[in-house]
Amino acid sequence: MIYKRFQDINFNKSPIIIFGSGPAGLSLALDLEKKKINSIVIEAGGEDFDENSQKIYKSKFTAVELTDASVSRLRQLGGTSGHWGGWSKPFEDHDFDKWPININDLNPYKEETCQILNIKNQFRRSNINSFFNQIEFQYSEVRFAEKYKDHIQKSKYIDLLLDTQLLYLSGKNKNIEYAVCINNDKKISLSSKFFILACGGIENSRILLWTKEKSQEILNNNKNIGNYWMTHSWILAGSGLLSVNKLKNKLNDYFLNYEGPIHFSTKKNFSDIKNITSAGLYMDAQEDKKFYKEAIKDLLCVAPELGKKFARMLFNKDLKCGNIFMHIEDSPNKNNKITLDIKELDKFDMPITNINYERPISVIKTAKNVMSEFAEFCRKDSIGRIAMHEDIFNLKKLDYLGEYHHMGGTRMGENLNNSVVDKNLKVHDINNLFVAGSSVFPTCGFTNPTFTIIQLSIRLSNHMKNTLQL
Amino acid sequence: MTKSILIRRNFLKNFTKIFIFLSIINILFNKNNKNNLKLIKNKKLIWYLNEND
Repeated sequence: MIYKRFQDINFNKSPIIIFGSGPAGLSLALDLEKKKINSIVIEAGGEDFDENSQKIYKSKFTAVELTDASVSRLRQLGGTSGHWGGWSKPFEDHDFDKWPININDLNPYKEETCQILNIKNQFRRSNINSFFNQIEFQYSEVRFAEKYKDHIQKSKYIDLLLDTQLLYLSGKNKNIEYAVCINNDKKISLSSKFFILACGGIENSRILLWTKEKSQEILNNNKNIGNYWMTHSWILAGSGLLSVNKLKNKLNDYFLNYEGPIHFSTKKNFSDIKNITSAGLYMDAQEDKKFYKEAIKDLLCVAPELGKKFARMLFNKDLKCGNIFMHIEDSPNKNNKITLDIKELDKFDMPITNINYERPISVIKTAKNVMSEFAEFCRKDSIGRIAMHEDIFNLKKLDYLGEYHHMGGTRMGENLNNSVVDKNLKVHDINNLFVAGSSVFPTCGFTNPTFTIIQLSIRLSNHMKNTLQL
Repeated sequence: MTKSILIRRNFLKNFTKIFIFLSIINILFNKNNKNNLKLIKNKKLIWYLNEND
């Protein structure tokens, strides 16, 4: 059922309270429901976002100005899935090198994640050479609020309470006893056996930091809350013209023949040799005739004979051409962190967040190396021609297009020295508090995070059922 | 066979061998030349091209 007043909910029947109704929180509640386990989901926003509600998500950036955090995420039922792009794929195997779990720990939840996202469980890859793969994304159109609102309304196992802001958690002796929230301007304390934070890649850290301030008896040893915050650099790197048939001939039967954009990714070997992070290349090969004409015109200026050849290829429908965008892996840095700005409080008297984030120097180096190597592959194998932005070539600056993936801050790890939660997402030193979402990522690869967020939530649900004997 | 004919024949044999060798080198050299990287800047873009593009 969906509620707006806390008095209408029977809190005694659920052993779990989940804070946040985005992909992390709802996927967890939906999987618990399959196991016939009751849960209460507390959402800070309403059924839809509004300007006043979004103001609560204001953040300050103290080093580099990133995309406004009150725009990049949504405070509403379904969370940021209300405006996400839907790009979905599991992380690469080597993305887990520094995680306490590996890809085999998440693979069992791939199919269920695809069902939640209404996508095909098909993520093919083709080996291009020792440095690159052609890879496949699936594009989800799921908005969690639209897909699951009616389902939750009728559910016997999920109770959803809207417009209820979690302020902080309180407890002692390594146990959370209650959560202090505000519902209809009234401060309330909610008790439960287990508490799950699934409030997003900034809010999870914010709640834990404020909890640490308010409750002196818990989280004292957890020094890493807010640290190692990360985001993907999404940049425009250049443009390219590729012969589809030549790429097809090179990859034989392994060519991933799908319409629209073409994706490539770097291999671990490449990152190791060049000492750079991983990256995904996205060629936005939309069938926009104007763009094709412009690209060929540009090529005719620098290489007239080749330009004519590519113009013939366009006529023969053998040409994919478009801007090349890149998602670049961030390097975890302890100094990139979320802290609380106690001088600026929101309407609930809760400090807003300060995000101290400096872009790693490695990002521009990665962009140049990847573009350069990809251009050389296309040129030497006569697959096409690539042009790189001058500023990247000269290692001057990158054309950043926005930061929408918020990761880290409550990272997963073996111990308190370098992490906040353990491999089962339980907060170190607290017996009944878990964290779900991308804030637990120790490293972030180049892949969009939502698919992995959902896999982790389903894994957490299994852990709760099997280990905690719910 | 006179000595002068033998000398001429050897010379021709060697000349042919050298000619074939140099031709192969030339072909390979030219091919490599064609595949050499040429960077050209146009409208803030650096194009990765072949020398004979």
